[in-house]
Amino acid sequence: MSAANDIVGNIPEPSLPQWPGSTGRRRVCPGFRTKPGMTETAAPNTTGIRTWPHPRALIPAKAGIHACSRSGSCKPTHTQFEASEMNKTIIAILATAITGTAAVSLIASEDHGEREHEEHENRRGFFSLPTSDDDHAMPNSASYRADPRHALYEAECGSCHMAYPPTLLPAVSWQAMMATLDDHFGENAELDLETRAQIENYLGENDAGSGEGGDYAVRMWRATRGRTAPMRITATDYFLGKHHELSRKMVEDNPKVKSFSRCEACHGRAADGSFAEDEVRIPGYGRWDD
Amino acid sequence: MKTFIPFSIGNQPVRTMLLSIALCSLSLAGTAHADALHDLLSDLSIAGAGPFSAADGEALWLRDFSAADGTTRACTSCHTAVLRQPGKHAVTGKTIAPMAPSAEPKRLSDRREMEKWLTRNCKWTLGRECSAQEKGDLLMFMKAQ
Repeated sequence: MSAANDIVGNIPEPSLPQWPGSTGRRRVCPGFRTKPGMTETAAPNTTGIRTWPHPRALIPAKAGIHACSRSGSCKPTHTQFEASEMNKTIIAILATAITGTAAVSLIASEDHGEREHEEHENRRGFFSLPTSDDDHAMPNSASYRADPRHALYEAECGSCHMAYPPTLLPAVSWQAMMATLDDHFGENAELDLETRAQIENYLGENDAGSGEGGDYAVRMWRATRGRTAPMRITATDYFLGKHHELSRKMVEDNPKVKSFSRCEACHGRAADGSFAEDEVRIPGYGRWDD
Repeated sequence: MKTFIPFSIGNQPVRTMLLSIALCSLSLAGTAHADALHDLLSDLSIAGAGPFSAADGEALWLRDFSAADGTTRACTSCHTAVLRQPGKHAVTGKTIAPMAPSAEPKRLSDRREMEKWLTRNCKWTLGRECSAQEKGDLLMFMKAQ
């Protein structure tokens, strides 16, 4: 066996995707944890299928999400939790003003520590006010991009295709995806064990149920709940429901699009996690308005 | 008596230190990368392969392989036969930066990247891992571009 083989090696097969409540889920994904201020209320689950509601989706301010009715109208959630988040934000801003320099900010943004993470959470809580009726707009910046592991994800997974926002699939799907990289939709996308674990944790912690991506992520999460790990974003009922009015000429037969998998061909800000309808520009067709 | 305890004197010095370390690593990176290809070729030789030939590498680069799904695959499927030109992913259509180090300096500069892609792409294209000899030949061919 050559040295090259030793680096990649045979990646041991992890256990099947499981959701918190089962010990296997925690073992495979050790970075996945309950953050301060959150309560984990999910009952033990031995089926391996994620249950609804997502424990983290129960936390209103963390999510920065609007409460959405079945008819689709969304309202912001106002809670005491949010108010205290704002206070913490003010304190954080003052603290930054006193001690901050450009260099410190630069390093702080790369700080893997919990403190930066908390400040980040505060910012999201503060700026999570609704800005649009469009439930696919991003009322706040795509916070998964601020995750220190995002650059790694983009470098490793973005070489061949757009680094899909982790908010597009539930963690159970990402976990299954990372366990089968040797046959990744027909391609070999093997990674060394450590890189794979880091990316898997990043994806799991910023998944559709994490509340990191705005309402579309919540809707994707609802649409896929209870399903066994959907692997293709474009094959989910939610995705199909949103794209069924498009003709072949616009997508598959459109040389500048070719596939629904190429989000960025029409959604200019897809890589930022934004899929707002008013941002859609189909090459050769222009704006989309249904 | 005061004892100097590193990494425990507030955040600012630690961050400054981290910045210095990061900058030092960047400046060292250039020399480290220059040896990456040499190191990999040496290790492939130790594994029993060599001497390596750019001509053999080119022949392998251009050779067609039949995949189990009935399609024909080659290095050129994504990277084209002109390594100074950008390629295009056969499935996703994403642009791939040129493979020639003369056109894309980061090529052949990172050992981990070289090993990762040789493993992945040999498995996809040839349906198996490349031998140490084949890997060395391919690297020599790419280096010459």
